[in-house]
Amino acid sequence: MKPSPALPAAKLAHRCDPAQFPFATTAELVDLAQVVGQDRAAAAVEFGIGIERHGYNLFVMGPAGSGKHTLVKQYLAERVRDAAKSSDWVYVNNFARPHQPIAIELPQGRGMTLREDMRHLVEELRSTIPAVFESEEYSAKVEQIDSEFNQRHERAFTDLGAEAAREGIALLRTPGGFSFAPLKDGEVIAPQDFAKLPEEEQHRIEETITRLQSKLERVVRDVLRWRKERYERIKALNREMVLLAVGHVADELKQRYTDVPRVVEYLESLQRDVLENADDFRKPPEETAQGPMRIMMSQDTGLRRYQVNVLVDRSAPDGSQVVVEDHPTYQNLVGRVDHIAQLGTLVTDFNLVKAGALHHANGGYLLLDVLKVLMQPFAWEGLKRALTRREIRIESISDMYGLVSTSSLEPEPIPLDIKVVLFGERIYYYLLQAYDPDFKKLYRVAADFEEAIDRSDGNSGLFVRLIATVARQNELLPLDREAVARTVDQASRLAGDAKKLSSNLDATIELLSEADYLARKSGRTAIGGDDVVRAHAAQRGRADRMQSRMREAIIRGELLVDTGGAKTGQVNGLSVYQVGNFDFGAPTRITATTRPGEGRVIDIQREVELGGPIHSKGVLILSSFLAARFSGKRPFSLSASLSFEQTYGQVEGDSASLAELCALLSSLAGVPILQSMAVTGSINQQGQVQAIGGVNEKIEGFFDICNARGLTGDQGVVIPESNVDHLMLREDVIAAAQAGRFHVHAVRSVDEAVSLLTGMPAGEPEVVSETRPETVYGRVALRLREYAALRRPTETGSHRRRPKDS
Amino acid sequence: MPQAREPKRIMVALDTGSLSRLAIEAAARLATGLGAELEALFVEDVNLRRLAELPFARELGNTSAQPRRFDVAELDRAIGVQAQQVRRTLEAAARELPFRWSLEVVRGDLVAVILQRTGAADILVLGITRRPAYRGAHGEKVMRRLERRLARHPIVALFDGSAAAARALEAALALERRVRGDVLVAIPASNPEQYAALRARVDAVLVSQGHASSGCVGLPDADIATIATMAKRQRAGAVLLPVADLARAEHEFEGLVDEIACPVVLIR
Repeated sequence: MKPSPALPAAKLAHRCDPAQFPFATTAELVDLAQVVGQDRAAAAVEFGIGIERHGYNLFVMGPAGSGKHTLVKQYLAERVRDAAKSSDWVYVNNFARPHQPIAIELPQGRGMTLREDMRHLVEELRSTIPAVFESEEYSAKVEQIDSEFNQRHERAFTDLGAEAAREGIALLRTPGGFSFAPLKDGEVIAPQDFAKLPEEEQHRIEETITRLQSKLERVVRDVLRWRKERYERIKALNREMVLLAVGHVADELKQRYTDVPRVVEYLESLQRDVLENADDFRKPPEETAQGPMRIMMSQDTGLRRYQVNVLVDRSAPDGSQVVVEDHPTYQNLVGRVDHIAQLGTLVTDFNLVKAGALHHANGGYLLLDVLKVLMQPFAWEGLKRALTRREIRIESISDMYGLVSTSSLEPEPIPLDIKVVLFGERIYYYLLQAYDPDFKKLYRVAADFEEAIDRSDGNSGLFVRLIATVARQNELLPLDREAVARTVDQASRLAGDAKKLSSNLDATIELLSEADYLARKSGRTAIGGDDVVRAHAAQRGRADRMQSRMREAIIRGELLVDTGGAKTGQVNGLSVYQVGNFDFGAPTRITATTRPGEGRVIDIQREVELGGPIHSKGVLILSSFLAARFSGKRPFSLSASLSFEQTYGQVEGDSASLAELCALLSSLAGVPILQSMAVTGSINQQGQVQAIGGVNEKIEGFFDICNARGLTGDQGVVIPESNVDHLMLREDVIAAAQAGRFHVHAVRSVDEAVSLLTGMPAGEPEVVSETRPETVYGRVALRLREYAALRRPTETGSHRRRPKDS
Repeated sequence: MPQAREPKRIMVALDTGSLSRLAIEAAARLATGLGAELEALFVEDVNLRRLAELPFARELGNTSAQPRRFDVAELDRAIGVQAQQVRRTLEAAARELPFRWSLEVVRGDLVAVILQRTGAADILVLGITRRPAYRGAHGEKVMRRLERRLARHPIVALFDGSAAAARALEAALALERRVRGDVLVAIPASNPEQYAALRARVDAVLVSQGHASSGCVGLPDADIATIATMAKRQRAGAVLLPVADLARAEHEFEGLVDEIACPVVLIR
């Protein structure tokens, strides 16, 4: 098999041609009002928003900057425009059970009206009720009642006093009541004079007094009964007078709210309460307290119960039903009941009930970041509870989880009709699917946004308009054609695929913002291609400290990587390192040693637990490939060791399995590998080379080392052929390739890679024969036969000894 | 027209009845308005002590309607408590309306003690009544009870043309200003001419006090029974009466104490 020729420079990147654009700058393009290339997600969003069924809430997942929020908001904006606006909600006092405030739904905008109406009502009652009680009519009626009571009272005492006087007894007032005393010469008889009276006279007086006292008891009881009667009559009079003041005002209000029966009900209960508590309206105002204390302690303390707490007011022109809650704490979602410290205690009332995002979004849509919700204590459970019950019940967290139950409010739950849209990464969706049984029932629609979109002609055109739109929206300079082309290139590079465009709009905006800065600094009126390239280089420059240190270590020989010559059992592998959101590639020396053994390939990384499972899998696959291809009917008498030299952290992934196999074959065959080459790719058991990730970074990483040492024209990288479509290499790499100073070879099988790396034919895979020592595989077969021959006597001995041992 | 004399002493006579607080309030407002010193006289009726000493004495609670033993020890405790209440009421009044005051607790015949002590007083406010009818509302603040009463009931001043009557009217006007009540002038006259003449003099006093007008009512006579009937009919909040000599007004006192259930102010 002939070695694969190097890829032509045109294959190393899919450059966007600025000449294709029919505009000078993006200022000529109209805005794009749609999300590009996310058709599946868009369909899911449209379905999720459109379907009016319980549990059909939306989970929108995908990478940041992929247009998730934009798309959802666009759909919602259209839908909210078409939909009828929903209601206002108010809380009013529950006069029968003040700790359970009543929730009332009103047509949009009527909440504030009701609040104003009630304020006017209270103001009016504050003037009319005292006026009624100060009126001549009221005074006259009270006097009439008092007069009647006093007359009865006086007559009773006068009659009793007269009766006593006829018996020579006086009715006296004592400090605590009344008493009778015998008189002598108009004065109470002295005790010594009483003692001088004949015994019969004394008895007569005492009997008379006893009789009079019985009558006095009846009189006093009558007086008490009359007092109660008077109190009842005054109370009835007060009610009658207050009713006169309240009745017509309340009736007028009831007329205004006949379309809202619960308001009428409330007004009726309010009317009854005013009748019972009219004195509250007669108290003079006090204005001594300040701040919130003033609210609770002022003269209006009692009258606060007639206020209306407008929880949700949609009187504003937009009447927004799309609510984005950036800080979704439990209380910010479900609402809360505030308290005010007053004289050392915490007090509250229905006026201190505060709405949460669910209230504001009720009848509409609530947009939340799932991670933020999950990170807030109780928020996820609170949200689920509300969605499951289909009502918003404001419950105090301290009451729910506290050991001591404090007296607080239990506001009437408000029916909930809402669609929640959660945004987040896929991992949260899958974790919630797996571990939260309620999640499936509540979020039945998932909209999955792609990281990258196809770089088709249609999408590219839209993407260019998207670039124009974000430039305008972010007040950036327009882009000229070259800048647009480089931005498209960058989107492809970010996607890691020449046939894709990254959907990470945030990264594009970041790049253009920095290019805009450079363009303005240079006094240009449009962003040029050079600005975009420089901005990208600057971005990498700011983040490549780690890469520079590693490159420096290789150049200085601290990390051993050869870029010339040939070594047996040693190959340049390629790794990708990720530091934050910055990826870069660098070569790593991989070595292999071989000796006779029992067919075991030792992965040193795995032995010391520095190899990940996928890496170990790659090593097992290459062992299997070797055994299958070379052992035939003989035992596979090989023992080998593989090592990533000078790596001190975890090695993961199978992209080095091709390199490891090549090193192993080189060691077995005793054929040196060209150190001017680096190789990446994973293999399967049939020896086919499979795609790997980070191909661009890997090639550029090896190129940078070679370039620093001086390009010789022999240097290059072997990559899987299936990665060719992903190539979006830097301009300097492409230039070197074009000049024949650096090469990228694409291979489909290990055979091609072995040929390229050794400069010797690999041999025919189907005809593995020890008779072809001019091929790598032929030499491998010979070496394995030697190993097998060396091991045979030992195995026989072992076999013979085994029965003895047992 | 008799010249008004600046009063120097106001005496308020108090007993164990509920009228005492109203009388203290009226006297305090007069003392402040007229710049006078207030002498409070708390009289323990000797008849109550005699009653308490009788072996069969029983008291019937005026709200409980329960009979209980009434003896000297019980009386002394009650008198002590009430005297303290009077003192506290005076202290509270003096905090609100600054005036000089003193309190004397005396035992004896109610009217006789008052007549005996009234000596040099220019104004006597009677806070005693033998009528059981009146009871003030519970829980009212000191100095607010009279105010509330006079807001609904007129201050009645008897004007018979004497110098004392002019002072009584001036005192009524001073009280009216303090409590925002209405003054009703009662003019005893046997014929229309006499009424008109006295009315003219009333108007003159009103003008001299910067007062525009006031209601007037004619009386056929100036005896206590007529005044008491008028006070009852007009639902008087307080009654101000001129007297020639406080020390010789025993007959008037007896009638007033028996017939009128509101503070009575006697002015010399």
